[in-house]
Amino acid sequence: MLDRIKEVMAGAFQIAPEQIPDDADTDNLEAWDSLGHMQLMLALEAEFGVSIPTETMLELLSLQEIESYLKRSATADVL
Amino acid sequence: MRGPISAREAVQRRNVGLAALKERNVARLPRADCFVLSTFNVDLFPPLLSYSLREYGFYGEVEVGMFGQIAQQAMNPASALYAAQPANVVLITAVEDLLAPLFDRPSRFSAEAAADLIGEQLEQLERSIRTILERLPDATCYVVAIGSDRVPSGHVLDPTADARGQRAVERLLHEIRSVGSLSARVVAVDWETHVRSAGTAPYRDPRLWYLGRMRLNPAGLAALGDLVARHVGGFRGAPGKVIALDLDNTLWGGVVGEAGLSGLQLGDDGIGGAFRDFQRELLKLHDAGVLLVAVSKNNADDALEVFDRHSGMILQREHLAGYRINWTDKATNLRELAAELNLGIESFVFLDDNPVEREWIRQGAPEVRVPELPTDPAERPDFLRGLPWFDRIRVTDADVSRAASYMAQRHRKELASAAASFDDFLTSLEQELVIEPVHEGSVGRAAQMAQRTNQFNLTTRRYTAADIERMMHDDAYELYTAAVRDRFGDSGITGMTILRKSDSAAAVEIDTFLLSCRVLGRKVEDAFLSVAAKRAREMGAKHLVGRYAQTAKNAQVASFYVDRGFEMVGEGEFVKDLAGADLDPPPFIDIKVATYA
Repeated sequence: MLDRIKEVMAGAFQIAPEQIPDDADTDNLEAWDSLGHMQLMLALEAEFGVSIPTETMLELLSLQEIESYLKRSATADVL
Repeated sequence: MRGPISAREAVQRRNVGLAALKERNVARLPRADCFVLSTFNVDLFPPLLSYSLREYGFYGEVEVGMFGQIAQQAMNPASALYAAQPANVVLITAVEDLLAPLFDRPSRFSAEAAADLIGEQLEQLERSIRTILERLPDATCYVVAIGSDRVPSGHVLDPTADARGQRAVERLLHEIRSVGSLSARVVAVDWETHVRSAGTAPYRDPRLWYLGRMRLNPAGLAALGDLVARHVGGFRGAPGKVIALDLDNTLWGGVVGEAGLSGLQLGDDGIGGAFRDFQRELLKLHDAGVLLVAVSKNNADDALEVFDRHSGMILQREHLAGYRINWTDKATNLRELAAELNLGIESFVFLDDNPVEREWIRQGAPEVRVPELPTDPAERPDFLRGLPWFDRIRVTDADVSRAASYMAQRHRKELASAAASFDDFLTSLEQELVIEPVHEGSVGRAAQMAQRTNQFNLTTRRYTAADIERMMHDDAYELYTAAVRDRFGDSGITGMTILRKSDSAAAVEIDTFLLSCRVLGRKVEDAFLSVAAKRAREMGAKHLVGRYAQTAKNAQVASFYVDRGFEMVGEGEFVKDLAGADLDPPPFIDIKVATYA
């Protein structure tokens, strides 16, 4: 799951998946700016078939939080 | 009509767009770099616009200025806009942004106040456009008018009520659409009509508005990219100047050489209606300056008779700038027409229902655009409307008179044949010819062919099913059908021959030899004849006799036997000495034969 999210992040931020540490967040990953964040949220929706509410979009600011959210999501295409 | 672009497709387009930008125009496409100024956030637009530009044959790098600052960027000579010195400026104006105060508190606006607001915004927009045109004398300015899905006061239902605010919104939208009149370098881009078939709902995402003031999601921006790129293409010049049209089953349903005038599908009802609408769309293009030419394998008289005498025809002879209705290959015909019209063959678009012909042109004249015409005629009018190669921003008087002047200039030139080897093409068809004796199950088809085949029919003997059955049981006759299959499909039984042993048994006569128009021009007739000759030899004959009976429709086979080494021994009588040189079958046709025991 983590690797799959990293692939999506890599596409959204236009960097290599290897450059994404497991503890990546908006503070420590330079490419993760506000525009990148928007791309990422939309790409996660397309990839995992989830619908992320506005408020949640503002909360998913790290790779770990994204993973927890997707795992909690009942409709997520996570398997 | 296609549905909306999906979110997934938008992601793919972004990736492809970014990859193309990394390659930096290795394909050396003409450039169409753009600077975008919008009333709302379009930061996600650049790779999507680059993608669409590439689909239209351009390489374009796209820069986006800060949003909500069209006037500031236009008026400030030191702005990022002018620092970029772009060849193309794209202004994206959403009515909801320009009339924000009206949307925020409509009750504060009387009809006059709304009109004042509209006037102010319009004036500022026009001033911005004029300044841009002045400071960038080589640039083209594309102004996108984006309407609103809602009105300032939706609870007021009467569409013309001042309190509703709808008229103000529509008026401003209409005025923005009219900016094309400001200059030849200004192109108005109408988002509303373009997006109507898909609907605007798939392209809006309120979360993106609240998080980033984006009115369009990536799918919407992808659709906008297509729309802008289409206008860039239309402004730079429509690549399609000539439409080359097949006739049978393209302009009308049926084969005129077999069905006759009355057997064609061309009218207001049923599938004939689809063919008529197809012609209507072609006529519209003609009226806008696109030339129409006919390229068909037919007897010219049969085909032109449809134009002249069929009441269902929309297109008339006078709409054709030229035609080649003959039995020559179509690639050669297209080259001749290009020379005749004095236009590059790359400006031709070829429409033909037959996939074999389409493939021949793709190989033999690769500069020609050959779209995949839908198999179902009902889908073709929409398909034609959707082709992007005839786009132009406006229609000038010169466009309208062009078609007429070409009619006046018809003359013929000799030309070298199509570049590709004809034999290579025929080999690539992977044809298979299956020859079988006529049996109970194929009697009906054999009789039908005898009754209906007019053009490639050497003796035109109109045998009925009873006649065929009688001959089947007569030892003096052998009857065979020929079925053709190729890479594109199975044509079924499309040929028939009847061999008759003469009384002396030294000769076999070809009583009947016919093929459907559909399989001509591919040497199937040679393969079929070679089998007949082989069979005659097996039957012990020394000579093969061919006959030709001239009719109004079969002039094309008058020299069939002579061309294949037969000697003319009398009026319509030809003889081949079977002891002499063989009638070799063409090597690229796979022949399977079952004979009488």
